[in-house]
Amino acid sequence: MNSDTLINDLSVVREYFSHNLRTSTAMVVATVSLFKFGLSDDTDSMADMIVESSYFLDVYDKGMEVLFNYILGKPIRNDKEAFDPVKITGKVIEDLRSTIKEQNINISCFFEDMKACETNSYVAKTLLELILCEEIRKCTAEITISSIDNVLYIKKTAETKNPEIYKIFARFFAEFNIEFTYTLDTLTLRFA
Amino acid sequence: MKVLIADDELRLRKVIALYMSKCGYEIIEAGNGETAIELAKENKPDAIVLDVMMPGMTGIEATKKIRELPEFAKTPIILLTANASEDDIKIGLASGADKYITKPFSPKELVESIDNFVK
Repeated sequence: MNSDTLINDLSVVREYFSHNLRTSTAMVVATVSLFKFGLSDDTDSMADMIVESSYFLDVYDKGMEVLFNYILGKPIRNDKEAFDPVKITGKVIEDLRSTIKEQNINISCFFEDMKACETNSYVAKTLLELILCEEIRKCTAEITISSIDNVLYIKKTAETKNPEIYKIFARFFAEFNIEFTYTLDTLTLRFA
Repeated sequence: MKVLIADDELRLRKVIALYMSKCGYEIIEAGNGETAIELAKENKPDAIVLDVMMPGMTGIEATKKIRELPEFAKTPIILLTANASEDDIKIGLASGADKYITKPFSPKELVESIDNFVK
């Protein structure tokens, strides 16, 4: 990696995670302020928002670590189990059910012929979680997640601008034989 | 007193709106800069709170457009942002905003800032 690419990548990663970590923290601080002043009408919903903001913080923290390690050429953690995109997608949707409800998002899933993959499962899981969090956070209508022949499609009904960091995700995935491509309305992950 | 809040982070916007409405403000919500300008024209808010990083028109671009409208020449505009660098703050204030608040922030701080401008 040449020095210009390195500096640009570091800048993109810092900006992306700084923005998201600050936004998720803002959500926790604002919600706690509501509790503190006894202003919440729906404490269960508010508590769920704090829990899910903590989930976002965890995903961004892990994501930042693997991205910086990749860019700086440091050793990257691996997990022993095979990478199972269907299982991870289901878990993210379950963990973000309050966000999905609050934003009135409809998520449909149709999985066919999707097998667990032999790859760096920690990296693949972390990047997939980041992608799903990004798309769910931005979504205002509907997302369809489907798979055919070991290709995962994330299709949005409303076009949304893709973050610049997706270019780095694509290069990172490619190191592990996963092809990540994206347009304004569809993200595609092709597993070997 | 009417306050327009524009932020694409729906959950955060709703929490801030709830806090401010409990403090006695009438809240108008927008999810992006373009809608914020339209709602400002329709509702003539007493203060405007804009997130900087929104899809499409940013809060800084929206601030410039709003300031071009004579009826909003003196309306307090507060920018909310997750960008905390000095350059970002300078750019924000140069766009015509009156104050720049970085995330995370306390809603109480936001309310106090608005009170200082409008009361």
